[in-house]
Amino acid sequence: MTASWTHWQRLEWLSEDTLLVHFPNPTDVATAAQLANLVQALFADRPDWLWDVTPGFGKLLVHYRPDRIDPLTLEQALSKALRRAVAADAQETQSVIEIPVCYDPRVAPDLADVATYADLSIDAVVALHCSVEYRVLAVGFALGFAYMGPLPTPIQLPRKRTPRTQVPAGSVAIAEAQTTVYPIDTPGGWHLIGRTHQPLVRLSDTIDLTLPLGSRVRFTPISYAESLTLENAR
Amino acid sequence: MSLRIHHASPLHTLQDWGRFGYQSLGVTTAGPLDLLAFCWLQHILGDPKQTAAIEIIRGGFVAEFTQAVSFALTGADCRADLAGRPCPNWITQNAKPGDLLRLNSPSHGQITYLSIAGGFDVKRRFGSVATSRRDQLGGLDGDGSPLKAGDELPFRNPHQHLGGVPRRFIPNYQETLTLRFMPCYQAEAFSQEGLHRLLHEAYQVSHDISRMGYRLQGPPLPDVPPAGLSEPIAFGSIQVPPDGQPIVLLRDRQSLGGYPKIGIVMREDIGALCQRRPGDPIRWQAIHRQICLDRFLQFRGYFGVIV
Repeated sequence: MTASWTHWQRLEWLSEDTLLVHFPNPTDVATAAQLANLVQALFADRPDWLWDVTPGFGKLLVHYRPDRIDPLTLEQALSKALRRAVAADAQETQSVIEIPVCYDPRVAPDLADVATYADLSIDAVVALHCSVEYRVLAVGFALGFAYMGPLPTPIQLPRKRTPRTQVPAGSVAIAEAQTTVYPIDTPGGWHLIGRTHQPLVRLSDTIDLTLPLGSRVRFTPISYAESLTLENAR
Repeated sequence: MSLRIHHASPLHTLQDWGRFGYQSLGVTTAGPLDLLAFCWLQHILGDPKQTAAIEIIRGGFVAEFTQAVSFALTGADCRADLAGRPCPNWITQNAKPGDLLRLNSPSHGQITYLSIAGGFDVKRRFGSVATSRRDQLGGLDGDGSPLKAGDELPFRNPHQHLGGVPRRFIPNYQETLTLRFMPCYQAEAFSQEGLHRLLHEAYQVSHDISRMGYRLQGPPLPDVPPAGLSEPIAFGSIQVPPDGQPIVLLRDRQSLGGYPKIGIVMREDIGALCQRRPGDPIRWQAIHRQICLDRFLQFRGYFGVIV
């Protein structure tokens, strides 16, 4: 896979200690993969001027220490990390993460509405959702919340007008050109079309995400009975 | 060797500088809402790099010292008493074993910080004890829960210490606050009329306030640009949803969001905003980043802190 960019479009100095880097093609899968590599490249040497970074849809927020680095040196460090990220991208050999999903109406409260909106049968909606390989284009909003895309066009629809006050963890959902799995119980405005038992965040000495930025994902349908068995096996 | 909590509310949490290095996973930084009061607390207790303090929002906190130690309160004045004697803010106090510290509700301001000389001994989760309910991280048990009656905060290295904040530096939370902000993000997508309204009309703090964000109330901004792709949100960002009422995003904000943002509030004014209560008047003023940056470096230089 070729990188979608080798340089940023522009640098935007935001607050006292933040810089927003703008890249082209924000919703391209290649952009997501390269942003993931860039984050790794930046953290690789744990530079003392770097507090944190937040990547998201073709942008990278760099939270830095202005008492440790001047703007020009920061630009050079970014350039260097970017060259490394581009090189890493060329040799990418990532396997596809499979997420088993139960699309039974008992755990998919919005599936029928989505089918009506899209003028498709429920089976066709499920088949479409499982028909493509997705990329995690961004991680954020909540810990482990992965924005995956692109969603097949026939099942793209706007967010719910009134968000639910509580979406159960494990809910598989769609909105606009993306799909996600809610990692925790949280309010949310996406359409719930299934449920997975797969945990999305594992906390030990490290934080491990099932669906990190840039990863490749596929959904496979399972029956309600299978999902109960898997749920109980956890 | 501990502070035994007799009464606390869900708004009382342990906070340190915050949890950094995990925002790429969607983890919020958490940390103190009022950085200035938090820094003064560490400063007068003699250890600028000290770990955690208790963030007490809207008072109503009671705790008992099981060992002699110096402690201090900064931020909103909750007319506290220690073993029945008045206990002013902004200056260290000495507690004896068995002394009860009682905070009433604050007369002005909203947020009070409490810590002891030598710090609390609390296990860090991913580099920080900062409590994040959203992420279920930090706090005494490491799971993001707020402090509650029955909790015991162990002392690390309790000792006596003397310190106080000079009177001229003690903030007055009753003054009308002018929020200085750096226009950025989608500022240019807002209409001239929108920006003009923000800069010249009267706003006030709404009732919709939390550690995630403070929503302000005033004449709605006209011609709010449409939401776009979710993008990374910096601390203090001023988000404007379709209803035109600005929201200043704080320590427990979501890491990504798609609503347009008109700018970012100057760091030292963010804490001052958090001390304001629903109904308090707010004015806005646009300011250059370089001025904010100079102040920021000065602030860090003085307190010897890094975040």
